Amino acid sequence: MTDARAIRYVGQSLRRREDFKLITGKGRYVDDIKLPGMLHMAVLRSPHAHAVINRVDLTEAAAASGVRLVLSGGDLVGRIGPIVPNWIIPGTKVPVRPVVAVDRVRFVGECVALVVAEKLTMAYDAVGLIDVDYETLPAVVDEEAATRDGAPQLHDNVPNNITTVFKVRGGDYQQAAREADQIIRLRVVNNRLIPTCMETRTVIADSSADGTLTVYIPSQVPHMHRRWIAETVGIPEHLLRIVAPDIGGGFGAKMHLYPEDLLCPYLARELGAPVKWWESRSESHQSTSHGRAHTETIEAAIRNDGTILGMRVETSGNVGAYLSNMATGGPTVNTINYGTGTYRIANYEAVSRVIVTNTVPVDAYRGYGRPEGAYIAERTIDAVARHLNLDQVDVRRKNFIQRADFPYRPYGSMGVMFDSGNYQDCLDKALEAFDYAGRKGECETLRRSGRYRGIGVAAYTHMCGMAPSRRLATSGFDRGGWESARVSIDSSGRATIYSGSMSQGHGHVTSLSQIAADVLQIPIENIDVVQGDTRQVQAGHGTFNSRSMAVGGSSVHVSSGRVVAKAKKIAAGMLEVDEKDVSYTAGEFSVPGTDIQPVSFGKVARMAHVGHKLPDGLEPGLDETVFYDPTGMGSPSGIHLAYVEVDPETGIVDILDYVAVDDVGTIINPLLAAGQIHGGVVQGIAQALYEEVSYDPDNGQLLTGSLLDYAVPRAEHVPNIRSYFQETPSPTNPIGVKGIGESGSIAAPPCMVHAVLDALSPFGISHLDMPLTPPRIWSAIQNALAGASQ
Amino acid sequence: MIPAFFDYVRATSLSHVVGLLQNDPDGTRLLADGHTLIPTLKLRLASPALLIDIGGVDELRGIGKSAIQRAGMPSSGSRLVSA
Repeated sequence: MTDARAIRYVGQSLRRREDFKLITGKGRYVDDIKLPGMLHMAVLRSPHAHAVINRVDLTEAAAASGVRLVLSGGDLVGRIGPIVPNWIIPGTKVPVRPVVAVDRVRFVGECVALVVAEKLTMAYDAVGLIDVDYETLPAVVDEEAATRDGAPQLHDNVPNNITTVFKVRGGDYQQAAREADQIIRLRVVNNRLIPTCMETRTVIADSSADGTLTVYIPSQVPHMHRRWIAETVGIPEHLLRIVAPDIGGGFGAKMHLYPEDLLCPYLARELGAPVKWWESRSESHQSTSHGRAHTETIEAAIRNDGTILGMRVETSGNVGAYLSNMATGGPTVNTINYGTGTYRIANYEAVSRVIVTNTVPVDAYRGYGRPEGAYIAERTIDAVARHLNLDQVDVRRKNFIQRADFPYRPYGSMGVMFDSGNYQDCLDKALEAFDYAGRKGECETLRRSGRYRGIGVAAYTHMCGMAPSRRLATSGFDRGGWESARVSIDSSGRATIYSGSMSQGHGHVTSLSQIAADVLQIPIENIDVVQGDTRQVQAGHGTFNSRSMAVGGSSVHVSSGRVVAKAKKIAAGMLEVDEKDVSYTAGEFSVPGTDIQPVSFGKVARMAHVGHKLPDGLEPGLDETVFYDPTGMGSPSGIHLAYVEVDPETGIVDILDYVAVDDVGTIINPLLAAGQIHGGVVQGIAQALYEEVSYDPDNGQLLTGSLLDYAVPRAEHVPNIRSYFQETPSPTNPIGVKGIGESGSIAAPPCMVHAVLDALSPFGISHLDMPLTPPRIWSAIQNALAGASQ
Repeated sequence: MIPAFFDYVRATSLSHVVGLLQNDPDGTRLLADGHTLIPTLKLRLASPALLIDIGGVDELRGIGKSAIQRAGMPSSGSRLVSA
């Protein structure tokens, strides 16, 4: 499109069209919905990590003021449930998960009984009157401890607490180890996190007399929730409507099926009244899925020049007490597939064990497996540099996959293919923006005066934009990889996009409109976006795996293209010329080189609606629906650099600078793209420095049960993040985009850890596990000093 | 979370506080800044029958200047910092 008049929004930093509503308090979240006669559900949760339930006495609670219904797990057997995972890696032993515990509880926070009352306070009061007789059992919370002999067993059908064993192999690691100059070994822990959303989960179910049921839920995947609730509660899918209004953050936690998602619909039908459940923050900590929780042991076969010949990885992935929705896919496919990172490592051998423990179920959290995979690759290459006393940048450059290698299958993998990338240019750009050479010198100078600064480097790549459908089948993922978009043109030529993707604050109204406006060649003000209502949006899979633009956006692109193709046929009829002579730009159909008066998009739209003069055989209407299934997944990549200073007296880390250069293909909106990087980096820094879920190893009590104990960073904890982009378009979709949402949380944890380790290198400290809290750093320094003085 | 029901009294003097405390020492808690107590109430880890707010008791106000610093209970953090 070289026409100067052509409308071009993609690439522009448009401010978010949805923000006025959201930042002026006009957003509408599930908790804002008040229905007449609405009842409130409250849940009694297990105070024990592992116990037999001998008896649940509901008598007193049932008699309490305002109480309409009290149920325990036994009352629901055969009525609803069990909860079945959506992603089941072949060979997995799936434990049975009732919606409400029946005779045994397996984590602190598991649903044991519920109350429905006229007011929320009444429901809470009645919950306090439920009497449960428990007989506690030994509990295990650590993934490695859970597989040892004699460990408490959670499920009869899951011996040794291992549900799944998944292996990846390429080349010959044993041979590489024989040829290597040295073998280095690491053990790294990927700390358990809580995906903290500003909006906690909330569900309202409203049953109507005609048999339909509406469920209001902050869901990243409304159509998937429709299917799951239908199948688990026993409601025909066509009678179920899922409405996801504005959502205050998801990060993966709002794409799973939880007991409360099933209880409200069931209870609304039983009671013939709307039933609401609202999750308090402390309930969220003990019932909404956690993230990460891995331990990895790594072996790298290296040459003394820094070349990595091979890697061997063992992953223990803690998935909590039951298999949540995608739980078997995270520590397996999503993690160990990416253990070699951005490096050409031909010989690779990895095994992942998915392990159940007496903890909150663990599932997807921003990056899901890819942060863990990148952490394996990056901690390894950094250890190689440190061990051989080589420059951390040089070692990476030496082992990088080269530009000419793409598309690249690491270690000859059949499952993984990196579609494109240019790590060398990304690295150069990052080093320049960061002033790597200058700062390296500065670190050395300052160390002489007892100041400890360090530089962290992390490179990453992964695959995202989950697709295509055929690929998902082989890994046991019971959903498609396509996304649906309908572009509907009204009789005035304005467009409504019905998208199966689901914004949780991403800015889809802006970005999807930008994509559509360029194809439709109409002003963005003439485009509206509808998401999050299964009665309006035809079909969809939703937002996860950084797929909204790559799959959802491509779907909008293709359906908009079909609208223009049909409009062109109509215009040709109106202009009385052959279709191939019609040119379309900036909302006008014209016949170049003639004096024929152009016809506007609006006039063509009107003609499509009245149908008075359409070419023979052409149906009226200007409305196209697409189910777009990409050919593959895109591979974003990037280099992040951090500059920190550690105070040896206190162990406090001061982040002086953070530079991110990300290659996420074509950038639709630089402002939104930078926002995604900022958010992801903040969550990555949080993992590296602040956040960690703690359990008492003896009794399985959750020690970080509220935001008083769990350290979500505040503004003062986060530096100014400098975000830059490089655009290597993805060949897997028509816009050339790659997923961006997870990049920051993948790159930042290793980047921050490397920076701190670099700062601590004068003390001889070569390893620390996240989070790098002041006590942990201070203790490491004290231990190092004590060791040195002996 | 939402606390369980409790009665609330804003005490006006030290003798008022002592009197109320003597009525039901086990079921009564004093509320000063509430940084610890209010989350405890919300989590229902504590459910007193009566909460006495001592924020309005002038006799308890003030920050001492002796060698051993003595801060009255209803001293706000910002006042302690500036003292």
